[in-house]
Amino acid sequence: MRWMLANGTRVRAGVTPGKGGTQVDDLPVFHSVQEARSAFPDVTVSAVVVPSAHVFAAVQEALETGLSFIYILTEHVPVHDVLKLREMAHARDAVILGPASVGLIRFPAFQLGYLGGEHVFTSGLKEGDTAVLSTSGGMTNEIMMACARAGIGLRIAIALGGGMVCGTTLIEALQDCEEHHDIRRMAIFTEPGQPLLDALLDHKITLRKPTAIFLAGGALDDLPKGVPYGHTGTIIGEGQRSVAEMKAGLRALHIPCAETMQELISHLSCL
Amino acid sequence: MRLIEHDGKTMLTRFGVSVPRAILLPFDRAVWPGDEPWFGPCFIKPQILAGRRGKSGLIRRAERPEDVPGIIHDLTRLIGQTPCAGLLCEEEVIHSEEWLVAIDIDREKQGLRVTKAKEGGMGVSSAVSVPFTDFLQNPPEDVPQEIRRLVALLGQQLVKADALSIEINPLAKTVDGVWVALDAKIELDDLALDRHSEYQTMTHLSPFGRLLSQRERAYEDELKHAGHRGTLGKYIELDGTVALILSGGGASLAALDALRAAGLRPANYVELSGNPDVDSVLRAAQIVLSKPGIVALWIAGSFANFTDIHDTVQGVLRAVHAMGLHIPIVIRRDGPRADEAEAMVKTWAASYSAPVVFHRGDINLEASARVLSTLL
Repeated sequence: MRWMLANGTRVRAGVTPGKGGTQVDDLPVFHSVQEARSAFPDVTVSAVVVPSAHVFAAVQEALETGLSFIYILTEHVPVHDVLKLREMAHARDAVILGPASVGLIRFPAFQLGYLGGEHVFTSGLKEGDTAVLSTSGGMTNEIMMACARAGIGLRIAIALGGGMVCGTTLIEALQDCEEHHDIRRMAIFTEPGQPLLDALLDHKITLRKPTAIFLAGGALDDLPKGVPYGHTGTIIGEGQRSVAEMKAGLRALHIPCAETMQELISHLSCL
Repeated sequence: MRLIEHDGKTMLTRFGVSVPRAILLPFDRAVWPGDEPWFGPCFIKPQILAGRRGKSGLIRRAERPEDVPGIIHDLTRLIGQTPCAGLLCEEEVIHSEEWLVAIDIDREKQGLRVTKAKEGGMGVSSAVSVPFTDFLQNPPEDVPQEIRRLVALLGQQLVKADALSIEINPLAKTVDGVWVALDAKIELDDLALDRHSEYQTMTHLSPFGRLLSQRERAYEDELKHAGHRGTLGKYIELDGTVALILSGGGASLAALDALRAAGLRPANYVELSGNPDVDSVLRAAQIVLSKPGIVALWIAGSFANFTDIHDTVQGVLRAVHAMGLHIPIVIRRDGPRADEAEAMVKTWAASYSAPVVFHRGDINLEASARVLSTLL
């Protein structure tokens, strides 16, 4: 929260049932989202960091008070909870980012969550027209650092979370970014099991802006299948395309597909 | 968590779905129990997680009780080391129709999906999937009313049970017109198991087709709830010689790729995430490093957003020290307190008998893995 404030995000208040009336770092704490919104009617975003068993109730509460963007840092939220929250959000035209998201940054001055750390806008990262989308928090950061070193300017970077079900999927984030005029090209970090890959290979979706994809997990082709490695959504099932097949397929569609960070930056620089 | 057929059928029974009469024989009990009346010809089905048991010759028909020991002897030999929770002896159900009916989650549409096929059993070529809500509002014409009702029921129960998928193949119609589930494949959401105490009695078989090692079991038992600000993930043993302590779901995959590109093979996979506490990291590292035959250690992860790099690296090095190891160590990490981590490692390495290298974020994973290979 301190990092967000220092990076220009207008954080107004905290909510913790039972701790209403207290203060943290000069910010007031309220008993409920409703109370916080009454005190600060201009608030539109809620960041949810409660333990996984409580996420459903917390997000439901935020949605019911009319907040339009809910960000969930917490990992390991049960799949059916996330499915229900997605439906609730759609019914209200609200957006959920996460769970298991380290956040997003948008130039010139908006940081949600931890993404990029304490000095994200002042330690080499430039403003520009590239969007970074990733199912992995750490790799979003890595790509941002690599872009900074290569002088590639960013508009936005989003860590979507790696679960089987997400508030906003990689496909949804991609299609949203493709609508923005201030985004010219995209860098995507993704993993086996992500529907974007099969959707591209089966021609169900096409990319509308120049995009380079970093698909990690080639080594999984040699390891036991049917088990999630890392993220709960990263899994190669029986009868599904191998990572090698997916890469070959993407390249056949002229979508630059990188196996290393160096390769990704090199592809991105040419787009 | 994938359920054995028997546990799946128990769940189906609770939902109100009919299943055949059956008894579960423990793996080492090779005869029909004397106190159980024989219920006619039955199928003997090993309770393993692998699919296509029929095609693999692992489902056998016993005409009389005397056939049972011979069949079990054959099956035991065929199953080998595959983890098996027992042998389900299930009455043969004469039937006229077979369907495949399944509900799972469509990851592209992020919703429930129904799959059905009019020919069940071992050769299903015409399965069709539709979103669950579409199926309920506009059921395909060839699907009988009872199956539509069953699908509606299964969808509801799947959500309540926190299951990721329920597959009944075949769903059979008996001569009396009763629909019976002749097989049950259910997968539960591991992330929701804490809220279902009733699942504690279910059989948990390793999905690998081999038994969990002692170390894997220890990791699972001891570190399930450790480190409330982070997680210690799953520890999976592999057959290489480089011990890995990886951080970040996506970075761990990139690290495995980098290791492979450097010509090295992992002794294990393990992925720490978030900000686990030092003692938990220490214990996790002890387990990882106790596997015989390890020749090096690679501590690798992405440029962290909020993990305390100093504390997590310290936890691992404490384990190395406590175990008296002398293997080369390469660390590739950056993020909060990485400067302190680098300084701490430099001091620590001065009294360590093998090379220790610390790579910061400007050295990519591939380069770091290559350096590790030069130390071997």
